[in-house]
Amino acid sequence: MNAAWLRDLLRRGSAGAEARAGDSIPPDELIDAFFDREAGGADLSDALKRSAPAAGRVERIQSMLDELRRPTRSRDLSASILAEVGRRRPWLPASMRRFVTGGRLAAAACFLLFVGGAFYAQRIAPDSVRFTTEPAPLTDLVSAGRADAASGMRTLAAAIDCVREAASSPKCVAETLARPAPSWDQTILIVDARPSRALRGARPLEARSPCAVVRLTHCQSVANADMPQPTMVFYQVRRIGGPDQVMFQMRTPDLPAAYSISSLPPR
Amino acid sequence: MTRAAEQKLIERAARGDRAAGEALIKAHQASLYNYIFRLSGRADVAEDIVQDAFVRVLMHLDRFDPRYRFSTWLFTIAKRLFVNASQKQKPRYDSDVVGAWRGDGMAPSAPTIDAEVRDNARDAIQVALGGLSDEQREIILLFHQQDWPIALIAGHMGMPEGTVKSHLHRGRQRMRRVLEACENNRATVAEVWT
Repeated sequence: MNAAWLRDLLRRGSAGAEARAGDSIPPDELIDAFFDREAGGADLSDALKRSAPAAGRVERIQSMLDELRRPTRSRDLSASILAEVGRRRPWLPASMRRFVTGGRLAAAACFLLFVGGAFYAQRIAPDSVRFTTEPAPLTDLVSAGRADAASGMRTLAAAIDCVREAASSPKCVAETLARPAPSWDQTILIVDARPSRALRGARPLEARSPCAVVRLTHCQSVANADMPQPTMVFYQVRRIGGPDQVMFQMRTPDLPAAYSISSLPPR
Repeated sequence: MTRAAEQKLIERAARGDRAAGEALIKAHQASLYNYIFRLSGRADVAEDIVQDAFVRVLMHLDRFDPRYRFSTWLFTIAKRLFVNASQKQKPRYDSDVVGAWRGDGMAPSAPTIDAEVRDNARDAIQVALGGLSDEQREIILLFHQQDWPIALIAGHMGMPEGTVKSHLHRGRQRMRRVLEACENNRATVAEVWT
């Protein structure tokens, strides 16, 4: 609280006192500030001199707080507390505490010596610290862990290759299959659940049917939540005649795929 | 006790020094007892909680963070124990006047009345504290009994300093009113039975 604010409070209290002929009440803020230890007693006593009821109120609060501070009679609990703590975790005499501290230091020093000695021996004579040539269980565990890690890395590398090939192969497929054709009516998109890797090097049989000529132009992988590794396969269709559906086959390195084009472009 | 001296005591007690543990107990048990006694209004509860709090603190001195005051840590643990105990215990009503009243139309014996009047005077402050909310009571005790600064209380209670002050002001006003009522009541009791 700053002094200006206090002076303002007192001035307001004083002005009220003059107006009410010595029966003013100090503002509650001043009393609260005093009991909050933010205003000095001198400031409050000046204001209280002009108001007996307020002085009585302050006195009652002060006596109440004094009563609150008065120590309550209680028995010494230290013996029972120490006994309870000692029952759970024994207290140690001074000599024993020194021994414990020294013991901890000695244990730490022994550990450091052992680690340092083993390191030194390994540097000087590597075979001397090899106790047996037979694989120990721990050695097996370490080697198994290494094998697992290598296997995981190989799987990851294969997946990366797959993605890389999937990104580059569609163009190759299209180039392989491109052959002169007079005109193509429409490009049709079929989504295949197989990855584009399965279509690498694909060659369509002569997809000539009574109704259409079909050729694969390219395929590419797309991310789709429903189909983890779908492939968009693009075909071009030239309609010849006949029914509006055509079935054709395409040979792939892995398995033949059959596609049904449900609707052909209008004639 | 300075904080440096207290910290040394804590370190010694943590290493198993019984004398250091005893010094810590003697330094804080009176203020902690007063605090819990005023919070609970019952000496037996206060003794149990003071003992339990000290046992817990002395068992886990290695967890004490020296950046904070030891008393803050101790009082926080004691307050938590008190809250737990309050949730388990039901309020108990016992008054010597009620116990001595035999229902035969006779007034209680004179010693019983004297004791009641004396208890009224002694427990007026406890009655006034009982009229406060839990937050007001704790803040009044920490500030006026334990001399904790407002900022420390605000941190302990997890509320802004302005709210702490507001609780302080309202708590004091309420206590004053209850005490005035108690004084009137005491005068009436004395007047009726004498």
